[in-house]
Amino acid sequence: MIHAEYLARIRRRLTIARYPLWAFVILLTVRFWQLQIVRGEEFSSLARDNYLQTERHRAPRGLVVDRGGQVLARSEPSFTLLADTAGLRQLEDLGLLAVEDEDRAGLEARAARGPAVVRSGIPFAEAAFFEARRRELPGVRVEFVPARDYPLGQATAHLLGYVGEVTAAQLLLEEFVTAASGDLVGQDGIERVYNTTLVGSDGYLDRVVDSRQRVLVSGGLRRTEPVRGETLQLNVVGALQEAAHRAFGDHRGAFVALDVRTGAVLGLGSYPAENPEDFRGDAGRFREMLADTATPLLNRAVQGRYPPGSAFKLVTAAAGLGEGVVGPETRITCNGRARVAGRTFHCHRTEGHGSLTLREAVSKSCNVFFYRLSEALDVDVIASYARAFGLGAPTGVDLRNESTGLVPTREWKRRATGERWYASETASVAVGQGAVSVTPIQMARLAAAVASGGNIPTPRLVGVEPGGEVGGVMPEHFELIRDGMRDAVVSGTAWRARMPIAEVAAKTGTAQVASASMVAPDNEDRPYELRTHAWFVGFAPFDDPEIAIAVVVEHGGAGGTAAAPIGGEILRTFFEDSPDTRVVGGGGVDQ
Amino acid sequence: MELRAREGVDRVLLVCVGLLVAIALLLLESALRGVASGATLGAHLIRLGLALGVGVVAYHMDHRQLARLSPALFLLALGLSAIAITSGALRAGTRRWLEVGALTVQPGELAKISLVLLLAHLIARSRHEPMSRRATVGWIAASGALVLAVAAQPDLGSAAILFGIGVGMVFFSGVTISRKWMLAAGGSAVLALPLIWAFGLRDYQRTRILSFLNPESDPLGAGYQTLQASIAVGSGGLFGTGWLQGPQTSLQFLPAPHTDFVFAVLAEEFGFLGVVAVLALYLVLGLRLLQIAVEAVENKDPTGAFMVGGFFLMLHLQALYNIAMVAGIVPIKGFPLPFMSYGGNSLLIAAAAIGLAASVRRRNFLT
Repeated sequence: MIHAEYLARIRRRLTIARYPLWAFVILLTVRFWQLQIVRGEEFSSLARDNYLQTERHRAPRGLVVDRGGQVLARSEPSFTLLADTAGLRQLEDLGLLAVEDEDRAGLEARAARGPAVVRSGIPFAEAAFFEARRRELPGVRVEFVPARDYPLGQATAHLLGYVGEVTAAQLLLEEFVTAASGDLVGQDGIERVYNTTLVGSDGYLDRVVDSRQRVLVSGGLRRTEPVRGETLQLNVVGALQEAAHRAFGDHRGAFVALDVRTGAVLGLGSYPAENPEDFRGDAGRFREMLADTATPLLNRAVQGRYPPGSAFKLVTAAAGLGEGVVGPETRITCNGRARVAGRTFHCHRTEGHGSLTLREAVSKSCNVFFYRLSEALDVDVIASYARAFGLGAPTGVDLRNESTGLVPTREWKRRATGERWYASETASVAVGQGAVSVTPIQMARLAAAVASGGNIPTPRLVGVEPGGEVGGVMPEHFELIRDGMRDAVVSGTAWRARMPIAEVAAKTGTAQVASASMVAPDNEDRPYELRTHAWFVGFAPFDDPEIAIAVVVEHGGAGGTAAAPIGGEILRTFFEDSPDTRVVGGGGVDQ
Repeated sequence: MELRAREGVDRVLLVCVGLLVAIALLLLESALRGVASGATLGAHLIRLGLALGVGVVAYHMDHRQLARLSPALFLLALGLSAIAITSGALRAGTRRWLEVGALTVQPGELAKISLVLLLAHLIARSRHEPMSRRATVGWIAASGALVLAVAAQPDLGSAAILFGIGVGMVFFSGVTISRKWMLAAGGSAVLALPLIWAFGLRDYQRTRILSFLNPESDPLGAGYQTLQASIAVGSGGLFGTGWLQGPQTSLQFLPAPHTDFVFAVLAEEFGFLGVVAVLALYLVLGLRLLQIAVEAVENKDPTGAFMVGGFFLMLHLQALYNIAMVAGIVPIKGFPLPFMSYGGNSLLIAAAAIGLAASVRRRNFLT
């Protein structure tokens, strides 16, 4: 006989079991609601990511052409090898991942975000090899990426910059907002500044694939054609770039040539230079360049900071005239040395220049004349003229990381060193030594300001921007300084820039990089890095100036011997080149 | 006899199981299109036919007689499990299968139903007093041996189900356990967890549990299945992508779409509505089984009650775990979904269980 109470207990327990069943079914229903209704869209898009594979057809970057339409940068067909994380492993297993160890981490990090460039510019046979093994190597693919070509090579290297794969940090920047991982973007120069103009838009082709990456459907889906980037016309003259590159030879240095009337950059170069085609996709070569003491990646034209030396006398002369310290007829006697504030300063001509006017002092670059001038000028007054000529501030050129240079003042010295200003230091500043530092593009602009009689232009590689005025200097003062510069070419320090085709006016500079008392008197006897920088700052034609130029030859010796011939060569090329490249007005963007 | 014939097979059981099997055919047709393992819908239909036969035979059996044979059946299951451990077919690193000619026998499935029958028999035999001491020892020893044998294959999933069946049936037996013992059991279980983690699990099992907790940590590795299943489920939305239209299923991103993840095929192609419908069928089926068990108690047939209660546990622990796994709320275990997954063993055992349950119900109307 079965105990009734016992049966009741069993019955109760079997009845209770319904509740956990209900609970689990409700729990699961809620969970499926969450997955399918609340998060349905999110998972649908993940499903699309699974089966929709998008093949990207890279848009070629736009052309970069010079003022006359000569091609400076173009995109040539080229194959690029890309791999994701799995693809890298596959390549490694096959022994085909020829990547140096130090590049490995970066490559793997990029591959983790999506297919990353392993090698670019691979030969056709290699591309065909990988294309034929698409199924065995699903993580590896070859893309037809138009590679950047620079017909003028080193001659336009810093001006144009280069392109490279966008970095993780760059993807966060506003300027690369449209870029995706793996994209090639401008990394420097024009390629970087005008990247958005040049990039164009990639084409896309969608395909349906299964879990083994077999293509099931490849037609009838989204398809957009790639659109080439816009053509960018620069103000520069290609022939000038080439002439400058030849003229510099193995010298380090930089030059900038500006259209006196508009500020359009007619030429800009920095040396040494490397053709971007030679380090494209070669991280090892790129690292070498970064470590090279000759700093081939530095754009000296806008980033190089040099003491201007005697080229700065143009500013001191303008200050002397503007402040009424000297007039056109004021004569000062040079006997080879001057004692200023208890210190003795020497002229480069030990026997002295005798009695000179300001015009003669400019053409002969007499130091004593300007030392004497400095006794009557406060350093802050000289600084205000220097700033009026655009020194100590970026010029506003359309290139990145422009240096400001330095125009010393009492206030600056107090802040920088905590010491007061000494009068003898003013004498150094008056001849462009001491703490003064300038960039070549600032000096080219200064030359343009002198040439135009006070218009200080905004240098632009593309288009034209309005400039400003040099305040406080009378037109007749500019005329006087220009006359001195002409004399310097006719019979003075800059005679090596003389040419029959146009009358050149210029000022040279020989900037000390070490105190004269501490180094060998003869430049040639000094170690390379203690030799003087050679400057040439000028314009032409004298009567109706078109082009202003600044040339610096790093540790090149005297301005008259090292820089003036290069400046002359660039100017000669400008005037000998076909007249249509000298059309006034800026270049611009067109399709 | 007239009354019995009119009553016939329980309609609720028949309709629920029939619908589940029919829906499964649709799902398998979709899932099998991409599966390259040689599995075909024809083979599944043949198994359904076999299962129907087993169900009919079970329906006409006297469950009390079967209960008396249960110790022999249990020993057979134990023996087969032992053979599987030593000489079973090695698949995916485990020995869960015995190959007999063209047939593949999974001792783990047989173990489940034989444990239900054995426990029902033992519990019912001790009906005069709540539970004899000797019977208690017998249950624990028998269940423990079977759980260990299945776990050693290793088939931890089936072992866990067996454990669950054991615990559930002890609960149904009406045994009262003092609070002291419950605390002791709970405490030792908590203490055992780290030890099991450290010594009781293999590397792949630990990886699975970790990847379950954070599936995005390794989307191409251990978390892949969970993630792909969630994508299939989630992308189904309210109405689903439509039959044969689910990209996760048809393009083979979903793992094991015909076996362990057949419910994900349902979720993708028939959406939330399909999910709710099938969950409802399992719910109704479970409630019906419990009701039959309760009726058996009223009919003073404890053997039948425990047996049907045990079948409920066997079928629904697996079904709910499988569905929860597809929903990504429990770690992945290789469970079939009863009545729906491709595969003969699970189908035959489920058919036997339903057949016996229907048989118990029919006898509830006889006095």
